[in-house]
Amino acid sequence: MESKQAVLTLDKVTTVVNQHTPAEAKILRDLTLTINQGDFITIVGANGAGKSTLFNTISGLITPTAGRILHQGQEITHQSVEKRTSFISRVFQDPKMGTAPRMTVAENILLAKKRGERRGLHLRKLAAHKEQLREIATQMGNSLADKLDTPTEHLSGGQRQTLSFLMATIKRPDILLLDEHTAALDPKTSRKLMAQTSQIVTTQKLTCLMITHSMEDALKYGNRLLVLRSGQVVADLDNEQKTKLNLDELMATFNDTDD
Amino acid sequence: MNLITSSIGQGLLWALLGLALFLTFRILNFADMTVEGTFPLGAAITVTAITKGVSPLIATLLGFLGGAAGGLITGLLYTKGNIPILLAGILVMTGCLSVNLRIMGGSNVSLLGQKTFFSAKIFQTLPRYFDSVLIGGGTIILITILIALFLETDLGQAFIVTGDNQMMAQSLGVNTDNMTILGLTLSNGLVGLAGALIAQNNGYADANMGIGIIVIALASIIIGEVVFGYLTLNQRLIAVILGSIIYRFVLLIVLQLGFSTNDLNLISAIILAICLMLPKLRHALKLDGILRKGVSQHGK
Repeated sequence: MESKQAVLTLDKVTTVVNQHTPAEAKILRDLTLTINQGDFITIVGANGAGKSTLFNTISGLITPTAGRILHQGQEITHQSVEKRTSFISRVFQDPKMGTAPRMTVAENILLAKKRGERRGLHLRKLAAHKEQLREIATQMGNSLADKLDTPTEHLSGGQRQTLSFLMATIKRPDILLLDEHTAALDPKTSRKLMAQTSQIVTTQKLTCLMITHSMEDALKYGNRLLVLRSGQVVADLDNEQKTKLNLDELMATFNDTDD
Repeated sequence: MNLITSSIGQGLLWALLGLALFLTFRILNFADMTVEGTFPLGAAITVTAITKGVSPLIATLLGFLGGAAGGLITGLLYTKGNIPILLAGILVMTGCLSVNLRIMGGSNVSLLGQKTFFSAKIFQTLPRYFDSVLIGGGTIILITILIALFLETDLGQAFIVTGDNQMMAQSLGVNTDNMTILGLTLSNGLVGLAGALIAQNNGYADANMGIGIIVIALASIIIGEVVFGYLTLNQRLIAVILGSIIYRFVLLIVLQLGFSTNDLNLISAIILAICLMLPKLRHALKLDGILRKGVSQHGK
């Protein structure tokens, strides 16, 4: 196996929320994690284990109270959310979060094409991009291509999540964060989007972190598995270990959460 | 005829206010109270400047800049100071009241005998009120085109998405604070411009001329939406202008019915309240059903 290239490193990261208030709580504790090029990491953990906080820390919404974050060797611990969007993209659980409701599908995609770039007084040229956008939408299926001129508030939850995923990947991110992006969908739609996700992440060799509550999905997809508990990584399994693991064993690591 | 021309002229001049508020009320999705302060601010600056011998064009631009400065302060208080937008607007509006009195050196300044946009020679040859139609129409065409172009740019799109879905805007790298500040600055600049033109049209600036204008601006937006229904963004800008003119006709009718100009604020508020409740009223009174029935029967 070729030597791995680190895309993002968390170095002894601790995050405390509601600091200096009675509700003060340590979410991530001394968490160290290296994410390598091509990693497709599934992340499991009980509620409160720090999964979402991990994503918020990586994307810059939360600044660590201690520790460092490095992107390709460069320290980005205090870099703003906007700056980080030039290399990080994210899909949220709530279909309403990832798309602008009153803007059309085409307008949404066009906005996403310029993720993290300076937006100046250049005309966006929607009409000139239409054909290209239609092609891209066609590849995603879910009849998105027929809805290019529809405001996204009129789309189904599944279509919106498909669109959100498309928007997160249309400009290749160094790191793709999927925060239970299929959890709000019905089982059939959820499976379809999950399969599509896996296919696109694998063929485009994207580096991806995916939080999931489905143990089956955590085992079935990806090439690395993390178990989070009380703000620490308690298990970090590579592809080989992950393939050997069965559902009961994973549940076992998971269940002695309450300490 | 004179009354109708006058209403169209007033509608066009006041439409600027509607367009300005559209940027915040419909795109950024909040009601910006600053306008009640920046409108008389624009008027005060422009009128005072004209009486000091500044050319009407420069004076009007100063009115725009004054309004923009007010909006900038509201934007900073809201985004950087974490003051709720309604309160931030009220604070700047209240502050403007004192500033306006300072600028004018009193509660009103007259433009009697001064050169304004409306005193230009060509207007003397035209019938009455055509000056406001031409100046209002010209300004509104220019501003509408500029707004429409701006909204088509990458920056304009970032501005729109900020109001539509702030979380998503941020995740696409849009600095939503800056976009909010930009929107408030632009919007209040246009409000200042409206104040500047309307004061020149009236022939004076008055410290109290801002009272109730947010209702007038909202009325033109809402009337446009109620009358014209589902539209694209550019069409909605036109709907605001037409809404403003319709609103002036409604006022004309109300005055013809014998109400006094003192009643106008109450009447404006009632008109706006009814328009805002219309979706709910339609549902409750089943107006939609009745209308549809009526239409389908005609179809037979």
